[in-house]
Amino acid sequence: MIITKLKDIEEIYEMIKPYSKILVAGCDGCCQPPRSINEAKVLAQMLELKARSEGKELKWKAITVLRQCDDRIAATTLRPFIEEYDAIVSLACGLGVGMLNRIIPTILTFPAQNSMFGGVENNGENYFAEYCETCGDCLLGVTGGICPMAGCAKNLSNGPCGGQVEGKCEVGGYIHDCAWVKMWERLKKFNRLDLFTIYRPPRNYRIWSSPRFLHIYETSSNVEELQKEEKI
Amino acid sequence: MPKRPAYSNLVKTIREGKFVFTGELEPEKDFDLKHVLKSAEAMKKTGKIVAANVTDGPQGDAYTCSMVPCYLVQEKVGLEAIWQMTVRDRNRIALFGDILGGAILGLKNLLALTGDHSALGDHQNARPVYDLDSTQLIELVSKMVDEGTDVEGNEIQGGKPQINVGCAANPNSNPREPEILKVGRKVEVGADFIQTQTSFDIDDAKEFLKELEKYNTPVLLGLFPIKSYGIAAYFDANIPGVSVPKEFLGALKKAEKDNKGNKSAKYAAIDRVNLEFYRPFINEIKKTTKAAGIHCMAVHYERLFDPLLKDF
Amino acid sequence: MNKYLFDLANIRDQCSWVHMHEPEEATEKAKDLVRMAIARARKLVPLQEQQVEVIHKGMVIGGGVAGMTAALNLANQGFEVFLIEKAEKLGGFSNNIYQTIENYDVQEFLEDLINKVNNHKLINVFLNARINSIGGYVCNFTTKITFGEDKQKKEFQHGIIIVATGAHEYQPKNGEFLFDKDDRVILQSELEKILFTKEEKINNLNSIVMIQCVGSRNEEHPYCSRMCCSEAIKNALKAKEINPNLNITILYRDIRTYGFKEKYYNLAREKGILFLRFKDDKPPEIKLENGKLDIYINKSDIGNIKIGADLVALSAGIVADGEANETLAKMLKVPTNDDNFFLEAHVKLRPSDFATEGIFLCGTARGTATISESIAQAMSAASRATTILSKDILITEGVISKVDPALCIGCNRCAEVCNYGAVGVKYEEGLMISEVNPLLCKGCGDCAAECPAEAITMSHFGRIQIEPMITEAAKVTVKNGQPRIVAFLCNWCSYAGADLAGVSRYQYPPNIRTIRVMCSGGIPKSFILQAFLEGADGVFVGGCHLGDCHYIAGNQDTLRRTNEIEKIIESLGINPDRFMRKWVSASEGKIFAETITEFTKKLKKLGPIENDYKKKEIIITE
Repeated sequence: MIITKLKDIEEIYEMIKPYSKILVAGCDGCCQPPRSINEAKVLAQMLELKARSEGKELKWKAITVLRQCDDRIAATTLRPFIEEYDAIVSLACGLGVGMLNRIIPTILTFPAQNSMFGGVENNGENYFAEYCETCGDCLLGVTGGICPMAGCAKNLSNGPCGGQVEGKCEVGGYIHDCAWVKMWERLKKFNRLDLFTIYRPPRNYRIWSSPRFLHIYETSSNVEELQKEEKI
Repeated sequence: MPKRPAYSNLVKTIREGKFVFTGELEPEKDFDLKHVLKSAEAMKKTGKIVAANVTDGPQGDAYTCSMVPCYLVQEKVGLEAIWQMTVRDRNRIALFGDILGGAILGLKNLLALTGDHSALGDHQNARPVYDLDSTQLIELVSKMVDEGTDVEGNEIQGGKPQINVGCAANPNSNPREPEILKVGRKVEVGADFIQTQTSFDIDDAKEFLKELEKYNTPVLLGLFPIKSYGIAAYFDANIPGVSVPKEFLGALKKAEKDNKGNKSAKYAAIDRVNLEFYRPFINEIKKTTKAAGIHCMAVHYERLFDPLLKDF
Repeated sequence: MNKYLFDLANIRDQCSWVHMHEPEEATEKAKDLVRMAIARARKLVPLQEQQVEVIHKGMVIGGGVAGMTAALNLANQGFEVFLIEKAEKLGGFSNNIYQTIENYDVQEFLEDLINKVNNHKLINVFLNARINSIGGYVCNFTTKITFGEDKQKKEFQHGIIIVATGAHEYQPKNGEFLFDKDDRVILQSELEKILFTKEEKINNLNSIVMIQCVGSRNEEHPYCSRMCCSEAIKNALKAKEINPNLNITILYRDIRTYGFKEKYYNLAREKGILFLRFKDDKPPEIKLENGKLDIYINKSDIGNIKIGADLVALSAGIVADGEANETLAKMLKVPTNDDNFFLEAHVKLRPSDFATEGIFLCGTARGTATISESIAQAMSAASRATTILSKDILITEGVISKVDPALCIGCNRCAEVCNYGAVGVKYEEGLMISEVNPLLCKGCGDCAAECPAEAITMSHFGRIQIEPMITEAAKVTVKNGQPRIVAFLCNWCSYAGADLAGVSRYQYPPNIRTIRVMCSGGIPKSFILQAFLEGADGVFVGGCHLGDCHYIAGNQDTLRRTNEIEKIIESLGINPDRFMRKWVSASEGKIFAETITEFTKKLKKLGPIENDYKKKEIIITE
């Protein structure tokens, strides 16, 4: 899931200050904690109160979208309301905010959240941890399932570094596990230390550099065309 | 894999079978490198230090780059430098450029390090690079020195740099096995020598050295003579993973307490504590292990070198 | 007419009786309360109570004294019982007990009890058993077990569960008191076995030293195990009886032979048994020198006293089997406490019940207990279970929550706040949508308040009923310097406390308009913000005291949500003194009146909430 963190109310208010009618759009998609209709309503109520304290009146509607990063779902859900509002405050991750800004040509969409990382819940300890940096060259098959990008502060390909103490990483006060020690433990358990001892040459960081695009070839409409250009 | 020629005096002396000593120089946020050169001179004078490491932004702090003090130490003092290079702040393009530059300036030893994370230093919001890791850096140096190319295989014009490259190992690592396996990778891609972090436990050190023997690569064991109780206590309390033995701490404390007010007596007492701890240690390492030497991290504590090393 | 189509405007206990000196304002308030009741009544819908058929069988987990007593009790009333025991024989801990301090023969009693159980037609005993899964809910559980040496499988259905899994004796570790290092250091249970089956071993002994509080009242197990003092004195008296020349010394921190057991302590002293006290932080030490066992006890005024011993008996405490209890607790979805014993619904008011309906507990599974206490608890648990088993149909709450599957986003926040395991995503059934179990839901509304997708409706006190009430409550035509307080009070504590203020005639200002909810945990943040937005000058949230919530821990969620409001309210431009959350119990009528009086006074000083809004600048031009 995309792990998000709500911005300070002051920061959100600064963004929508020039507007008097806002649409507050939640998202039921993956962002954790879920920022659906109730969260949208509460945020809108808070913004209205804050606007009042500045002598302004703020009209709003709270709504939620199944997935803001899907253009058709977002457009269908929001289209009936766009005309009545001057701005949108989106509780989605950066993908949703970017998408709404693209598909809605008449008004701006502002982010109510900071998108932090792709992560999962570490249930027992009540926090979210980064699990994937979408680096484009997944190594989980040769690392026993432990990611050296998301898990290692130094993104090492041939770790561990000398900074680990009793299996804990030097970054963050020796609280978090050293990904490379974890990798070694797992590979040892599954009798695959051969995967640990190999030397990994310098990574391709080109596939990790923004902006990134991925072309899909399989739609039937452009197969013929692509065949002609010998792209497939 | 056949060993590459000994380009540096350090590696040459090691291969001659001698038990060598290296020192450590730490430039800080310095525009004036006087103190570094002074230390280097003191080391040179002992006649026992074959080369000295120059650190590169330790603890993630923004310090003077290592290349320049290395060059000055070699040119002005005549002491061979071991150029420590971290991969934290430079991508492969900059690393290649810097190595070539250093080689042109006559630097002959390079210690390839990962580098403490910037989150630990005085520029916590900086973006760390880590484009290559330390093992891949060793491979880069090997490519430059043995094949005369960069990482992508493009040829260097005008000759091949002549550098011996080393790597680090941590005798205090716990668990130990992944550390040993990691050193194996570094040797595989061409490390000429190994320098370890500091060790205080003789049995631990011997065990570690034994496990590294299978790599057939010279190891310099790191030792840390401590010149004040305050430094020792700070180290013990704040450097995770390493603890200073209680007797050593106690002896340093006593030395300071017993000689309060009398500086020269205090210094002599502290020196005695260090000599009593380290002389037998070094002796034991020299006699019972295959270690190639000692990396003596007595920063700004050069007065100890003569009495410490005179018998070796 | 469906009984849920009824609402009450509390114009007496919470109006005329408490605003006796402000008749005009009280009348205005009464009108508002009626308007609020009408606003709610318009949105009330008829609710159906659930009916479920009861399976007249029970499962008892644990075949010790408690388990067997409960099983017999149920069976004697005509209910079939499945008695599950993990060991290869019945009896549990009592197999190691020979006599109580009151001289009852435990082995004889046990034999008799086991016979009764084995011969009872309605009790099915499963030995060497392991529970594989427990599904279902009250009136209709399905349990699968593996039992017997040949690992047979069995599945059965039952209406209730009684947990009687017991506990065990603390085993000293790490050479504590030389326990594993010398044969002469034994536990009291081992000494008891010797005294009652091999008493000749005592004849040649000269000195026995007993050490109390081993494994109890320390950091690992902070509680007192309650029985070790009686156990020690029982064994000491028996030992003295066998060999009157024995020197017996009991080293203790406190002697806890409670109730009538005190007389055995007196008896022990009369018989010449020595009692020596040691300080909590200086336990006795055992040293082995030249094959002799010496115990050193420190007496601060004298120094160390050395006592030689031929036998040392350690009074080890009772500890729960943490791992096994946790596994079973997870299966049953019931809680355990910090010491890993099972946790009852309420220590005084519902000691034999779990909060989850249909599951009961007794014996040392719950905490330390003597045999007679375990028997009493077992009878209580069986009696509680009978209130369900004796019925053919169980009728449940009509006021429950409901999930709209179309809106549910499957985040499972509802399950995280529910204290009854009554709502949550149905992962096992592959649905990935949350569902409320109408038989377990107690209608607190916590899940409805928590649901980010507003997919859960709390019947009767949901958004559709409460939001119009808030509008009516906050609405003021002319403020006249009088603050308007909108208050949300929980049904069981703060609302009852407000009623009590009325009954006792404690007066308070008439500025407050109360909205009753079942649990303060059912109040979402949007209610509070709506009140401020619609004109309230102050908002009050009342709940039960922490630890006393009628719905176990709904008020923990109240605490969390109101903390969030408190943190953010100032940055919204509202003076933080305008929001108050207080825990008021049903008996604190006076405190309620005083609190509202103070709050109103404070708000009067602050003025209307419009004061907090930035005043529009007045520009004077030439």
